[in-house]
Order: sequence, then C-alpha cells, then structure tokens
Amino acid sequence: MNKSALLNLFFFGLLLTSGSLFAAEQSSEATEADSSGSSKIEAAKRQGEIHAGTPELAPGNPVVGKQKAFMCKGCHNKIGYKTAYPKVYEVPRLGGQHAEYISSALYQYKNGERQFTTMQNMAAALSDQDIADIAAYYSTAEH
Amino acid sequence: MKQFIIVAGMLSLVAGQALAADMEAGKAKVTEICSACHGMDGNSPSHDFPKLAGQNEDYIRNALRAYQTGARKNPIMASMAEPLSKQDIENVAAYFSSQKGLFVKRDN
Repeated sequence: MNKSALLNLFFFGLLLTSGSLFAAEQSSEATEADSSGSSKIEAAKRQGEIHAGTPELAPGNPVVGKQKAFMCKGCHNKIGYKTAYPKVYEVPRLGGQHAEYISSALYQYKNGERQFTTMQNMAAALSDQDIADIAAYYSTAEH
Repeated sequence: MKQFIIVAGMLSLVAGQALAADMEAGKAKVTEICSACHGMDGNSPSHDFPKLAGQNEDYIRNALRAYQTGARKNPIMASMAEPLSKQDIENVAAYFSSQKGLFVKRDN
C-alpha cells in the first residue's frame, strides 16, 4: 500500500471520529464533548501513526470469537506449527496478545499493507465484527 | 570424501554460530532499544505495541529481518531494526522468547 492510500485511510478514520464527536455534542453538554473530544482525536492520531487502517473497534466477544477462529486454530493453536511457504518459520503465538494488536495485524493483511499470502486470504474473508471477536478470543487469558 | 568432511565441518560451524544466542547481550540490547515500547520483559504495557514475551524465537527473528529488508513495513520498526546485526537479532529473539507471556491456545 502506498503512502497516499495510507493517508486517505488515516483521514477517513479521523472523519469517522469527528462524526461520532458531532453526534455526542448534540446529545450532551458542550464542555463534556470538548474534553472527551480532544482525547478521542489524540487517540485517533496515535492509532493513525501506529495502526494505520484500523477502524474504530466494535467490542469483541471472546466466546463468539472462539467459534469464528476455527480457521485460525489449524495453525495458531498448535505448538511449534511452521509455515510452509514462501519461508519456513514458526507461526506467532497469539494467546495473551493485545486484542488491539491482533486486530491491527488482521486489518493490515486485509488491506494489503502487510503481505503474507495465507494471512491475506484469511483476513479477506473477515468482517470488522469477526476481527474484533477473534482478537478478543486470542487476547483472553485462559488457555 | 575428504572434501565432504570439510564441507560438513564448515556447515556445522556456521550452524553452530547461528544457534549461539547470548542471553545477557540480548537482555542488554532489549533494555537499550526495545524496552521503551515492548516492556523490559516483552510484556508491553501499551496495547499500541505487541507483546513479545514468550513469542517464538523463529517468528521474532523473521519479523526483524523482514523490517530490515522492507518486506514488512512499519516506519518505527524499520528504524529500530536497521542497526541490528545478525547476532543482535539472535540474542534479542532468544531473550524475548525465554520470557513468560504469550502462549499457544490449545482448544480446538
């Protein structure tokens, strides 16, 4: 993905955030909206720098995610499982990882920013909610 | 046959070197470069940065090389990985993977 496309995604994210801020302002005191607003924009900026392309996340459900992760488990739930192509190395351990990082990685595969054929194919089939649920499942503490 | 033995000997030397990770040097490098974002033991306090504690060595090594070659793109990690030597990568990967943190989920 080139820089201008990344920038577009970033500004799209900002637009989404400012849209929800506007709605918040309508329904609550202006001062409240201002304080939460500036922190939300700061958060969006940070996310834009580090996790470009990650939309605002819906809360993920780890129980649903456990079901949805059936495609992931073939590789990521086996100790010592290795990739076969194009390079051979052990797939990452995901148990206990930050949900935000797992989501960000899946979005990066989905939009082509991060390239690995198997994971790009997997991520292409996932909705925003699927990603949130799967990330929640892997991030939870129990084995 | 003699040639074969020499070649095999050289190969095993190379392999031996590749496997010899220095845990103390890895810890020093992590303290110096990685810990500000990923935490001293790889359990990053901020969800903006992935946990690396307990991640498998192979994956960390591969990710750092991919940042160096540009196969994996991230401006922050590109500048962090750039000065690392092969030996640094071995050491850092060994150190992070030896820490307690990430695990493999076992349910199917």
